[in-house]
Amino acid sequence: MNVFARRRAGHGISVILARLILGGVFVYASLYKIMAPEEFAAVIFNYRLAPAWLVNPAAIILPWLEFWLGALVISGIWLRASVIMINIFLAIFMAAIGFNLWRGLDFNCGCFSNAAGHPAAWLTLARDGILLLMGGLILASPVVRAAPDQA
Amino acid sequence: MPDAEKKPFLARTWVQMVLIYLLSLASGVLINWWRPLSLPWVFQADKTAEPGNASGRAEVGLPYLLEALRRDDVAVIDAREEPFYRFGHIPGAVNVPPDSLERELPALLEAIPAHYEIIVYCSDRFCPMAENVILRLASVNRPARLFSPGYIGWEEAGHKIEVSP
Repeated sequence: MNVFARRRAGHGISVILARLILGGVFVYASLYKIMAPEEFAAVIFNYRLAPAWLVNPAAIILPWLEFWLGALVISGIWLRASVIMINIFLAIFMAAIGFNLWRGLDFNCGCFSNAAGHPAAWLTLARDGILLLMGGLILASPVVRAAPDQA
Repeated sequence: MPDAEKKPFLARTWVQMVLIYLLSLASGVLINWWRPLSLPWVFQADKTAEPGNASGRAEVGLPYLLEALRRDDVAVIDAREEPFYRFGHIPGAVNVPPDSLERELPALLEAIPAHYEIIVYCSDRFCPMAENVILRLASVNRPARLFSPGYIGWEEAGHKIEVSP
């Protein structure tokens, strides 16, 4: 195997790992919210950013969006579209958390559970930043860019 | 990728994004419709009000519950789903998840003496399960009060929790 083939193979493995981690985190994060949308509605409300009319529809739909995006990224189906959506999702989420931290609001991030005891912190932002980088890595990979039938 | 191939490629990505959104929308709507206690599409703003407000519900706060727990004529009901109850609940609370309310209601009514005060809670003031139990109890002439801060309020205040194996 020459140096270019090795590099491609290594890149492939890192992309698969990134897909598994990113997709796994999204699927895992969605489960509790799917089970208890009323609690997730309270979490969304406590962000104090969404208008009241949007709170419950978001609590019903967003967990499923998380679930399907995670499942699609793991399976590799519609990879490009799902990773783009995950990155948009993460960017909005980071902006919301950052804004609330900046204005000093003490709130539950609702990342993996709706329960209190998971307050949003700068660490949450850093974690989402890492996930965003993983999304970027997948999008930049030749597998996604050069194989439209797979993406 | 040549420019000629780029356009359909991008269009296909857009279509897939819309389809993923529609799939999520359909899943959310269907599962919410199928759940025994569907989340209403309109957020109930009155639930954000403080206890004892214009909503007129018999709500109690933390000091009241702490005082009530010292008595032995109080029954506390945890209306959340069973896994959450097992992770942690207010000490002495009995779990009556929404799915098993009808099944467990006769035994529950038998177990709680008529002169007992019943206090019901779920996760926090926003979740509807406790209200559902209260309404059902009211229908059999057993008034109950809502502990509006819920389990989250209890835990946040640093009070002892009980974990079930």
